[in-house]
Amino acid sequence: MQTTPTQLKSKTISATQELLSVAIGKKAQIILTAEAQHTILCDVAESAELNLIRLITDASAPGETLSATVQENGVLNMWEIIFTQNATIETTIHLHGVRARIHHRSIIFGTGTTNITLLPTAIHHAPETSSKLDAKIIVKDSAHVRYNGMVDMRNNARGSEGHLEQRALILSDTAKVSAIPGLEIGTNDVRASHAASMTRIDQDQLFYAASRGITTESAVYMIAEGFLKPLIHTIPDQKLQKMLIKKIAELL
Amino acid sequence: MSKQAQTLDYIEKLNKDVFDKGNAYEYAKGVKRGLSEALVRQISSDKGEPAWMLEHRLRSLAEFYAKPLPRWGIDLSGLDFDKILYYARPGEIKNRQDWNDVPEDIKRTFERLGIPEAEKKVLAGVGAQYESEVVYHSLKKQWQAQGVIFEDMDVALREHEDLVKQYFMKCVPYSDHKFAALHGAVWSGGTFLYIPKGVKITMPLQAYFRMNAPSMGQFEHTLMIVEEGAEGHYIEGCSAPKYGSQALHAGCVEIFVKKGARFRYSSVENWSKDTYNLNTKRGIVDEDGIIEWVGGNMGSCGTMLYPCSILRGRRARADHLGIAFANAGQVQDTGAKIIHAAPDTTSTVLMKSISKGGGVSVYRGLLKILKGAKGAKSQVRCDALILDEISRSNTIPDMQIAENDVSIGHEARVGKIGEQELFYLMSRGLSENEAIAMVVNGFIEPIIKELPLEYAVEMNKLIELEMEGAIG
Repeated sequence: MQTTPTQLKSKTISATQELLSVAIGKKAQIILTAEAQHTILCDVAESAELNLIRLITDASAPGETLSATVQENGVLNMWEIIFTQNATIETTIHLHGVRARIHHRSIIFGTGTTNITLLPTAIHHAPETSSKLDAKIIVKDSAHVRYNGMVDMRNNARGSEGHLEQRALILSDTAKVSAIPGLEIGTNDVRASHAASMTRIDQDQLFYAASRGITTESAVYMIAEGFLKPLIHTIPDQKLQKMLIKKIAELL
Repeated sequence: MSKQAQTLDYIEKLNKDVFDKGNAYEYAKGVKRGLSEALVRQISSDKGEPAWMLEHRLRSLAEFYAKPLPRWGIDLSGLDFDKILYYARPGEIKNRQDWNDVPEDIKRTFERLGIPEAEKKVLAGVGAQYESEVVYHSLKKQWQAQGVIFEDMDVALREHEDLVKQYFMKCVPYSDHKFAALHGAVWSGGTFLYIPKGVKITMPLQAYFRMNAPSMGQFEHTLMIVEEGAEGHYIEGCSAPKYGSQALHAGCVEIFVKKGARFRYSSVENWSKDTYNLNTKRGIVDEDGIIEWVGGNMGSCGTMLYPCSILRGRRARADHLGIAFANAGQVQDTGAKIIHAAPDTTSTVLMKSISKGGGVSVYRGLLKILKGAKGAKSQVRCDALILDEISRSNTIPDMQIAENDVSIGHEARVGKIGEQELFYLMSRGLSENEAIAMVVNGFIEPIIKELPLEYAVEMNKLIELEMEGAIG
């Protein structure tokens, strides 16, 4: 079964394809720029590895569903980058095979009257599977972002690990963040945790910056950028990274 | 003797059956099972209640019929409202000031539960509820002299009607949910506590509830008013004997913490395994006030209990501490609800849950920061321990933040007892069972240590009983 990953493909598609699948032992990278309402199915076969980057912008449809399955030793790395107005994004990842792994990262920037709901779920069906869900959320103006993540470990998921982490930075008085980071653990030989925090920019930080001649505006930019950067830097595409940093500067 | 040896010593002596057997008792009034308007009127006239209370009961009853069952949480399909005994009273037993006056069989029940010992020690007043009527009540004279009112709810309604009317079901309105409405219609007994301005009660006040009739509902109402600058600590424990039919507990606790006051509410709930515990507990805290909830949920087949703090005054604070133990056939759906409605309010939540033998423990929390609650701070932590592979633990913390000048942190962890921890303890000569019990005790220790001694001992006892046969 074990084949060495031979090729690394990187392509940008505008999600007209409904099924993305990576064959046994293969490695692939896909950048999805969704344009119509879609139900995307994704399959990562035994020992395969997929880097899946989803860009969800104003051009996208308000509802997005993605359902992925990861087989034995398969790895799915996902990035969801969200700069849209209104959307409900439902992502369900089934870890079907032993030692299957998912690392799901969300970068959400809500401005104006944005209303975004994210529903990422990792379901551990097999032993020794691992899931990691990281989200960084920035909201300003009267944006409202809901992030209801869920790590669901079924009865035969012994030896599995799941971690859900959600950090939000609130930049205005009228912005709102809601979160329900859920854990449903059906067996004992597992490790699962979640962490959530919601903060604003500290007056002390701004004062510190001001005392060094940095205006409040650029200090806010620096802090927000610093907040998102650790996640942005994990994106395996330089062009996209640069584009994102530019976009953040525009939005701030 | 080492601490562990002591622990094991008293585990051996314990006999859990005492909690599962009730005393045979003749009911003075053969009240029918099931709910009706006639029953509600009868309760009210039996107690000689004022007209406004009857009116409140009838309004609640209408609301109860109108409201649907909750569609979330535990499975309530086993609950048959027609089979529940909503109201019962044992003979002529009424308030007694002296322990010697309490009838022998009732005394025996309390002795099994350790009440006299608690009384002998520092605990200040005992209000022990035996089948819907408080039979034993004592309060240290010095508190009485300072104007503290610590009474059975029915007596309070007669003697302090104005106070009761001002606060009764103002914190938990009957229109809140189906079981609040049911409570409003058939409530009976409970505790009333009024601490006047500036009075600080250093000793904990205590009441013990116990259900004894088969299929008997317990709808006690607890109303506590802590005036400006006052301080107090109230403890209650609940234990019900085991019977074969579904019983229901839908009590209600309302606490008003006024400006600068401080109040701690501790409870150990150990209802029998056929009881649904659908209790509503809520407190409203004014400026600079502090409310503390310490709770242990052990028994019942299904629990839905989320103590709630409404922080409506500037700098108000709420601390929630809780333990839930879900054993075979149990669902412990508990949590904490905190509403920050004023600036600079703070809250902390620390919840620990243990699941064993196929039990399900759920942390369901709500953290709501309203617009304008600038500078609000909240820290929530829930830890879950799953002792075997068939048990479950769910964590569902709902966070709704509508203000940016806040600091919110939430953390949860789920896991099992590490092999290494067990190996270490066993290499020191402990059996696997003892080692597990020790780790569990350590796990819940931060909460146990907040309970007064008697309760901490009882809580530990109960945990040890639940832990029996953890292996094989």
